[in-house]
Amino acid sequence: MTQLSLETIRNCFEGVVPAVLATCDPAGVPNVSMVSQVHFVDREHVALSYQFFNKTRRNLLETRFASISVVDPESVTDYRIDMEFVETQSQGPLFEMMKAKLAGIASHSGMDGVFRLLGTDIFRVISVHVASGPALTPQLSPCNLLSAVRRSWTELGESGDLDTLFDRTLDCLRRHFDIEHAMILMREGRSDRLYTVASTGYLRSGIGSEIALGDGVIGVAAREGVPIRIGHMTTEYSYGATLRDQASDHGLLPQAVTDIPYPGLRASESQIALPIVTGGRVAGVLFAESALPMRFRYDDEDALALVAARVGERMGAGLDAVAAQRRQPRAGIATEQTIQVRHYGADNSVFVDHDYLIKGVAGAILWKLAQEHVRTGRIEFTNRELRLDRTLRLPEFSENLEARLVLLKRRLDERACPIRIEKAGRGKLRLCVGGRLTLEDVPVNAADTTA
Amino acid sequence: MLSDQPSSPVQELQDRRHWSGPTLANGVLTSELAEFCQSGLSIVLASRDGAGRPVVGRGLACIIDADGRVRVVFRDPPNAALHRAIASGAPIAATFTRPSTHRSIQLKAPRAELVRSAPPDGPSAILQTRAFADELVRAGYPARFAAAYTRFEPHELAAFAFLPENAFVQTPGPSAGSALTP
Repeated sequence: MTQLSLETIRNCFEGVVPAVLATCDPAGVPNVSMVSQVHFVDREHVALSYQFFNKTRRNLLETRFASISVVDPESVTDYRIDMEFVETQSQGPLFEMMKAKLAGIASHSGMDGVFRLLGTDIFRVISVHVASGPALTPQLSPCNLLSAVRRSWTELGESGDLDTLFDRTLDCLRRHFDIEHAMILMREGRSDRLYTVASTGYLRSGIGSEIALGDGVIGVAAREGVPIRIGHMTTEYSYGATLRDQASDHGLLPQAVTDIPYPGLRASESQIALPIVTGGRVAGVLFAESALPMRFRYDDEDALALVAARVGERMGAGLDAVAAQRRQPRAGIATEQTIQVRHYGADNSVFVDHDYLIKGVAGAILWKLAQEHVRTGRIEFTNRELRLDRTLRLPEFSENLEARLVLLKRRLDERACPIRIEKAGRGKLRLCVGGRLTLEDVPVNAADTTA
Repeated sequence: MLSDQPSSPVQELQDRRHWSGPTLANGVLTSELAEFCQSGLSIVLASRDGAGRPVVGRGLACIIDADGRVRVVFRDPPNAALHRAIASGAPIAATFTRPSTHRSIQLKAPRAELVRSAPPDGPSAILQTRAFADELVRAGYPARFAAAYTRFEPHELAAFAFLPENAFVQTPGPSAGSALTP
C-alpha cells in the first residue's frame, strides 16, 4: 500500500470536523475522545491542542501512542493515523498558530472561554491510511494557487518603486487569488506598532491606521514571524475590540482626532496574516480577510506566504518610495493660497489647514520638509539627508524611510492636500506646495494645553 | 426532554447523583443515559491491538437492552482493526456525543463480544444516523456533508455488544472525565 503523505490530507486538519483520538493507559484500558484541533506541522508531524488535563493527556504522557481518525470535510474521506507523542510546547510560533485557530473553532462551536490552549502536543506520525471514502466529489477550487503565485511573482518583480509594489501586490491578490479585502501594514522599526500603507476593498482606505504588535492575527503574525489565520472570527482576535482597548489604555477616547480608523470588514469571518520578512526581520504584514468562514486553508497560507516573501525580497532591493512623475512639477506655479501647517512635538502629529494628516516619523518628515521649504525655498530633498537627520529618529532599517514616504504620500493624496510629494530622480523627492506655507509648532510642553 | 443548551460536566455529575429513576447495567447507566446513547449521536470507539497500542473506530448506532447491555452497530470495512481487537478479547471504550450541546458520555468495559448482525440493526442504523445527520445540520454542517458523513451500505454492518462497567462524563469543561456515579 502506498504510504499517504500528511501534506496531501491537510484539509482534514482545518478543524471543520472534530477528530477522534484513541489512547491506552499503562494497564491497557482504552480511552476515546473528540479533539477540536489536529494541526499539520510537517510531513512527519502533527500537533494536537491540549486544552484540559484529563485521562487522554495522562495516557499520552504514560504510554505515548495514539490512534486518530480525521475526516476531510470536502471529500468526506476518513483517514486513520497511528502516531507517537514527542513533546508539548506551550509557547512560540506553533503555539500561537494553533491558539488563533482554536479560538476560531471555539467561537464557531459556542465554546468561547471553555476551549483554551494550554499547549500543543507534537506527534510523530507512524502510518496513515484511508479507512473509508471519498464519499463526495469536492467542488473545484475557483483558482489554481500555484499558477496565481507564479503570475504574482513575475508581476511583483516588475515593480520599480515601493508605492507601485504595494498597489500591485493587492491587485495580484484581487486578480489571481479572488481576494477582495486585503491590506499591507509596515512595522515601525523595532517599535510595537504597525501602520497600514495600502488597502483594497474597504469603504475607507485606513492608510495610516495602527495595530499594536500582538493584537489580532496581524499583530500576532508580526510578533511571532509566522502566518496566523482564523476560520471563524472571535472577539479575542477582533480589531474593533483591540482598538477600543488600546484607546482606553492610553486614556484616549476611541475617536481621538489622531486615530485613523482601522478599515477592516465588519462581518469578517476568515482572516490570514503573513509576515513580510526583509533582511531576516519582520518588516510588515500582508493581511487578507473574507466574510466567508474557512476561506483560507493550508494551501492558501502557503501561496500567500510566497507572495509576502516576494514583497519582502523586493522591499530589500532598495526600491525608491515613489515613481518619478512625468509632468512638470507644480511648485513653480504656486498660488497665493495660504496653507497652514501645525506640528505637535508630543507625537509629531501634523495638521494641515486644521485637518489631521499624520503623526509619528511620517509626521516628523513632513514637518522637516515644510520647515526647510519655508526657510530656504528648497523643493528637492535627498533620501540620504532624511536618513542621516537625527531629529527624525529614523529606525536603522533603510526600507523604513521609503515605507514612511509611501505612507506620507498616500495620506497627502487621499486628503487632497495642497501639499504633495513626488519623486525627483533616483533617491530624491520633491515637495510640491500649492500655495504659501505658514508654520506653527506646538512644542512638547505646550501640547497639553493647546491640543 | 433533552435540552438544546450547552451541557456541562458539573451538571451531568449532579444529575447522576440526584437520579432516583430506574438504572441499568448494575447501576452504571440511568434510563435517561441509555435513552441519550440511542438518540442518534456521534459514536466513537477505541480498543487496543496485540502490541497494546490504541485502535480507533467509529460506530453508527446503539441499542441498549433491558439489562443495560450495549450493542454497537458499525461499518465493518473501515473498522477492521477494531474488529480484530474485539475478536482478540481486548477492552472497549465508546464515547457518545451530541454536537449541538457538546454533551458527551464515555462507557467502558473490559471486553466486548462480536455479535451476529440482527434484524433491528438495519432499522436502528437508519433511524439513528438520520437523527445524527439532522443534528449535524443543526450544529451548522451542510446537509450534503451530513448525509455523506453518516452514510453506510447495509452489507457493511457488523455489531458488538458489551456490558458497561464504568461511565464517564466527557463533555468539555471543568470536571470532564469524572466517573458518573450515584
